[in-house]
Amino acid sequence: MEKLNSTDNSYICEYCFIVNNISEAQFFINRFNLKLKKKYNLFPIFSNENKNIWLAINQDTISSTVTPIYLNNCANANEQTTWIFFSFSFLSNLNSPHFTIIDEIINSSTQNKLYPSVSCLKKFKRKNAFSNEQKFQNQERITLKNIYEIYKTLEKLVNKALIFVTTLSIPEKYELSDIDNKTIKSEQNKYITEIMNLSDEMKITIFPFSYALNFYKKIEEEFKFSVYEQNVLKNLLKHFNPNDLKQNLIFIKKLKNGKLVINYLKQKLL
Amino acid sequence: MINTIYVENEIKDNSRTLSILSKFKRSRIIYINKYSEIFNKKTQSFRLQKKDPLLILAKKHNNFVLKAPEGFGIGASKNYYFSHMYNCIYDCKYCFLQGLYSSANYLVFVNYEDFLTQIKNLITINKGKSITFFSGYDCDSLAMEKVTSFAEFFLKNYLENKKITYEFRTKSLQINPFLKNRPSENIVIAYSLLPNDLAQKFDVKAPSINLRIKSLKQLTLLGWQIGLRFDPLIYNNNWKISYKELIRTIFDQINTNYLHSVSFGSLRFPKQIFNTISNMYPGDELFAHNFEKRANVYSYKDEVENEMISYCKNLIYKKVKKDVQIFTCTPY
Repeated sequence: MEKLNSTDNSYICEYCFIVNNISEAQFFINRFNLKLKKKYNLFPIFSNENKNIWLAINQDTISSTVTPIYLNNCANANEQTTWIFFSFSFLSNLNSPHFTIIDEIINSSTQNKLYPSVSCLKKFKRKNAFSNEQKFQNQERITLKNIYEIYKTLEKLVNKALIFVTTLSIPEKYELSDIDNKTIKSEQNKYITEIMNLSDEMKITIFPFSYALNFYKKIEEEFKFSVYEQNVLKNLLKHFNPNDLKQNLIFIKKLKNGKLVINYLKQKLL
Repeated sequence: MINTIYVENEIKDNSRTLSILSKFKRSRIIYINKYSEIFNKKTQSFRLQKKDPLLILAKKHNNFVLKAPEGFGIGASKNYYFSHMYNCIYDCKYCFLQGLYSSANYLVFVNYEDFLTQIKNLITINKGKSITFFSGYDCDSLAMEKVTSFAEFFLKNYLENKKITYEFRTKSLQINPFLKNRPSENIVIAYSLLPNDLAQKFDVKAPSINLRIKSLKQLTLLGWQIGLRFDPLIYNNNWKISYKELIRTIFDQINTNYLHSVSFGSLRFPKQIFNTISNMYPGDELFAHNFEKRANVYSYKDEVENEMISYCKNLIYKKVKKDVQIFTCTPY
């Protein structure tokens, strides 16, 4: 997924993760090879080398509403960025780790509620979560630190469907130091990967035009076009639906030059 | 299968709410204060929600019955519409609801009695005047009947009055409430119709044209009045052949003695809605033909519109008795 009309020196942020502590961040740091970006000093901010995956760790000393805004700015996130909040929760009524998507967030002190999108999340187990300033362990209900404030801010910034509030609920006998446990790691890996893939599919539906234009970059990598031809190509691509383009791309890449690409696309539109 | 149902706290114990919920035993139920917390949020994707819509049960507090837009009518001096539901289980590409709402979730207002009360009030206020009340403007009036039982409720409780017509506009085959009741001269069940080839492309998830015609036939056999709504009329290279075939098929099967009215309206969108919907379908044939902007409405060129309407009207005139009412919906 690429940001449209981006200049060559700008990078494209595809995924932003928010966690509450370094233990929760560790899985993401290892999996995506994230490095601490020292120039951002308000929060610990990490990104991978391509700068398409970013992570922020919430800080107790700073209001949680600042975290999504700060990460949004540092990561140069856009409307097509997927946001995943992840936290561990410790439950007294569990025997094994359970991954859950949160569809109702209840502010513990005010009882106000927020409702994250549940579009296309049929296959995931869903529950509500209470938002507290402190994290409580050994609860019978899911409690996520400061999620109310974080979600409320995020909801205003990006498309609701691309915000995922997730938790891996762990039996109370476990502690944060146990999260290196193989089972927990594999659960985290399985579900986070599923959500990332799902969000990519969702973006095709949410931003159909953007995806059509995204093919422009792929074609431009293969062929030389004059400025005039570039504009013709962009306009032609807008008339295709993304699925048709996907099917045609393999054939297009086999063509000899840019002119033939344009003629081929024109013919397809007839 | 609807996997999540949001229910307003105010109506959580309402018998109709409980009846609807009993039809979704495996769904997750989330109680909310106001439907607007879910339905009205701007940062939502209509197209995405259409893939996996949810149900919201709510109470409507005002505006139960509204004046129908100018040019929308079947001969009465006053035209009103009412919607017990917003959004639709079908996914017609030209549907204006896609540009009207930010959410594609089904919103059902369970206080049906309040709709009838306002209808009765309007009949009293407009005493002696002919009025048509349309159902099926913000939703298909019958498509969710198995869940809502709205038509069933309406047929038991509506006010009979010679001057009043109630139209149920639909593409649905859920006509059981009508089959179970005696026909009424006040009620018209009107079907939106497209030629088969166009319906296959644009009436996504809606019943086939042949099945819609079969329902029309069933209704006329029992003596219910029916309406034929060729709205929108959609242009393509074969439109003359397609519409001729459609009209022939319909009139071969239905009993025209029970044909209340026929109406035509060409494909048209308010400007904002046109922009939103055409962006949802890049490269789609529906938007490939030249649209013209007139009075903030996008539609086909004048001459195309006029030719389509007069061609179809002539076909109808050849098939029906002279007293059948034929109308054109004008957006301008």
